[in-house]
Amino acid sequence: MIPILECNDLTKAYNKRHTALDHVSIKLKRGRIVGLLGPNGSGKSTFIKLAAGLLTPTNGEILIDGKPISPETKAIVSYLPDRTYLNDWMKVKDLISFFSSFYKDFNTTKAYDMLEKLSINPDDSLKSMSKGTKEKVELILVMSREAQLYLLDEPIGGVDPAARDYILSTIINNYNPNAAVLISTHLISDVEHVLDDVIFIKEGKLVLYNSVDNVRAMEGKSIDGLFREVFKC
Amino acid sequence: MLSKLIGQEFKVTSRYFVPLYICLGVITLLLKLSLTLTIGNNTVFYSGSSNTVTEIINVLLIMLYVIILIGIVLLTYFIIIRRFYTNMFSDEGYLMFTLPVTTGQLLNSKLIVAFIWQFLMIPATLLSFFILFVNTDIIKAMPQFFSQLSLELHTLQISGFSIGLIIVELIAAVIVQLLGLVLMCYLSITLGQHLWAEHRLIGSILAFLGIYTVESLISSFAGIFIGNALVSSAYILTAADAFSYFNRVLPLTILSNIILVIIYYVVTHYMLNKKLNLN
Repeated sequence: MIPILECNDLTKAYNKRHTALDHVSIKLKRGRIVGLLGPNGSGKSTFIKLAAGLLTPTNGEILIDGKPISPETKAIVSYLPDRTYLNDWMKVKDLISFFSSFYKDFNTTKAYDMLEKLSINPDDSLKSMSKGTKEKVELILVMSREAQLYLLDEPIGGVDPAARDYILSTIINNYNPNAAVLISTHLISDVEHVLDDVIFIKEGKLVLYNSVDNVRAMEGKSIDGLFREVFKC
Repeated sequence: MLSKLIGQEFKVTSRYFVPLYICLGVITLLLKLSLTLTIGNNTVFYSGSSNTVTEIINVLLIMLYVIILIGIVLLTYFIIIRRFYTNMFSDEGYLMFTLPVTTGQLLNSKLIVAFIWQFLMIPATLLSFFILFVNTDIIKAMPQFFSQLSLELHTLQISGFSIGLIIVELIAAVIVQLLGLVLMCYLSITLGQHLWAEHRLIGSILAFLGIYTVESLISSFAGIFIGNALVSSAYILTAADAFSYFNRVLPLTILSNIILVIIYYVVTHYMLNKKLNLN
């Protein structure tokens, strides 16, 4: 089976002084929920943006489903950025019709279902919502897609603990055996229980890529505990 | 996909352009009303039958009208440029560049819609003038005006002056000029992003000035050499002379502008495709 995401020697250097990603090689397996963990500035967002096609590598390559980044790969990748990227004045229902017109794999029924569960009115504009609600809407749009790779950049950072639980359960429940989910976060103790695999990134370099079970067995501690050890300041 | 992108472009930009043109419509009608009430319906020329207050109102309305006309031109370009920058390079870029569309489709959708809004200024302004100046006298005189015009044109046609060709060339020149202007702005913004990430606005302005300077230099040099070769006589004595002059200069101008448009497009496309680095 072709890995859903593969990078070979992937490097991103902004200038001679700042190398965000340093010769990273990873093969992400399908059907796994993977945590991309590292301190701020370690290269997590850079990695995800490269996979989403928003940055061009300085060196090396990144392949989605064995192919270089193209409209074809973008059609099977669902990306949640770490910022509000939608037009503020648009209403939720406008956004849903926008997404469904561009993405064949967008499930409109699922989207409206999730909106109802979270008591969000589709007629509201994003401008009228709180930051947390906006983030929930963005997550709903991303998880309503039946994509093959989900790239979630800090999906639970700005929301309350109850919403975090809902978001994480949404992610697990939308788990299609053929898809992979890459969650980048530094709130490790919150996500640990949903992860299958973990990747540790430190100063742009890959320092660990293993299954959660293996790590717990080998190190005898939680991922959160190991993280604090590895990334001690 | 392209049509969907174009639809989205129109949807978003209309929010700014529709109110703008509504303002033009309102001020046109207001001015027309004021002029009709004070000066009368039967002449375009000031007949002195109004008093100071109405004169002041008319002058103010005319000033407002001119301001709105100028505003439409400036705002059209401001909206077009700002739309490109915001949609492609600010946070919205995270949405646009992850859509399953090609860079070409993104660029084309922006270009097409920008062109249409630019072009719209011409008929909108003409319509506005028409509404302002038309009255019963002019309407009565129109059939005679048009028959006279076609007679004159026919006479010119016989003497070798093809008005049709000139019109086609002028329209082509305008189209290429508009495309070139927008692409020059798009290219400047794109280059500004790439060359100076920390100070993108200044980078874009510098890029624009750079491109404009190079373009001016090239056209000046070209003008000197080609112009001399073309204009064998500096005297334009007849319509036929004017026609042959335009007929030699215009196509070359159009051609050189087309080349510039192609260069700007190709470079912008390349930068967006291969050198994209959203912050």
